[in-house]
Amino acid sequence: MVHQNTYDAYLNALLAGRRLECRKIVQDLLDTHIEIRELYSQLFQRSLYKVGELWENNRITVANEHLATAITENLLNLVYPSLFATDRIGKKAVISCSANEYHQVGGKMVADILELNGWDGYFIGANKPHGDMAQYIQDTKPDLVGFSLSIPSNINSLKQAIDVVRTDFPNMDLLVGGQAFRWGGLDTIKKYKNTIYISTLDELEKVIKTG
Amino acid sequence: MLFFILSLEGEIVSTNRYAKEVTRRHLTGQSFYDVMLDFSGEFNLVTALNDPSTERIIHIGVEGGTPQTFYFTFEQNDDCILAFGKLNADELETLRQEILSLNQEQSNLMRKLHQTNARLKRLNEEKNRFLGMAAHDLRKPIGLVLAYTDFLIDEAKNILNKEHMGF
Repeated sequence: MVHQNTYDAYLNALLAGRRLECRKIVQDLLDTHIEIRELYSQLFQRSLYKVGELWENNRITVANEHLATAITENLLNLVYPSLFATDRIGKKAVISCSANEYHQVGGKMVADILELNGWDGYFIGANKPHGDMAQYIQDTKPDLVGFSLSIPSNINSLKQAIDVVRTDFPNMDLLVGGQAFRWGGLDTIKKYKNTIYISTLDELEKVIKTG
Repeated sequence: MLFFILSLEGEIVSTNRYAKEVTRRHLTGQSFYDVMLDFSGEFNLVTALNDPSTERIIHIGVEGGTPQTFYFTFEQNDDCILAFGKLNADELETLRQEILSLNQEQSNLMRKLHQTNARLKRLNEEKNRFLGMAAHDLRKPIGLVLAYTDFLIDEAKNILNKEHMGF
């Protein structure tokens, strides 16, 4: 569990761009064998939600937000040696950000949580053209495709991405999530069959465990 | 924006606070030529004053950090020189976007590297397990073949020809 004072120290360092201080806090938590899912939800996800909220309320700049995100992505590397060592269950997922979506850390954390649960979680990355995404899905043949959306105005791009997947893989299970949906767009998503909205990493785990 | 007041000889008389923050050093009394990085030695204040509308790229040395580039103009005002150094916002935005993209690509590659490494480690363990089992399972039949071969050589060498013995 991440204690409040640890979270506060981490968030302050993150907002100030003190990468090494953030790194030490995460490394100390890993050295005490914190559960990776707790690290993700109680430190990474919580702090990034806070950073997003501060940005939306004009309390921090775009540069602050991007630096905090870049630091977080860098810190995920500390977790990977143990994350990818978990036993496999023979399922594959491809997680993508749609075209025009430059915020990728949320999608990457989703792919990581899938890895943690034994899936092979392939992450495509930010601003990926839909054609490239379809080809990647064709090559990988996943059991599940996930989309992450951070900016509400990119919802049309997400719809196009879903349409591309639905055309080529009509029965593919789809997950969508991301901070963009706090501002609406869920009605659009619900119109698609086999498509589930996931609001948090904890909820993602529950969904994949119950099948 | 950086702002310097210089003597006509180029000595720094005064600066704004941002100039001190950027350079991280005390500037008053120093020569402007010592604050900037002019590797070719081509910059000349007199030339700059003759063409005050032209922006000149000048790299400012930062104590304990990397130099920063500003676009400077110089104007003479009575017995002093006013120097204004601007950052290029478009240039910085391009730089920020590119660094962001590079960081994302590097981060994704690092993830893929760890993922592939874990897969290879797992495959290597499986290969070792298979070879261990194969070695164990093959030991007995190969031992039998060897024993029968020795038996044949000992007992039937008189009826085996040279070609048979070659096996």
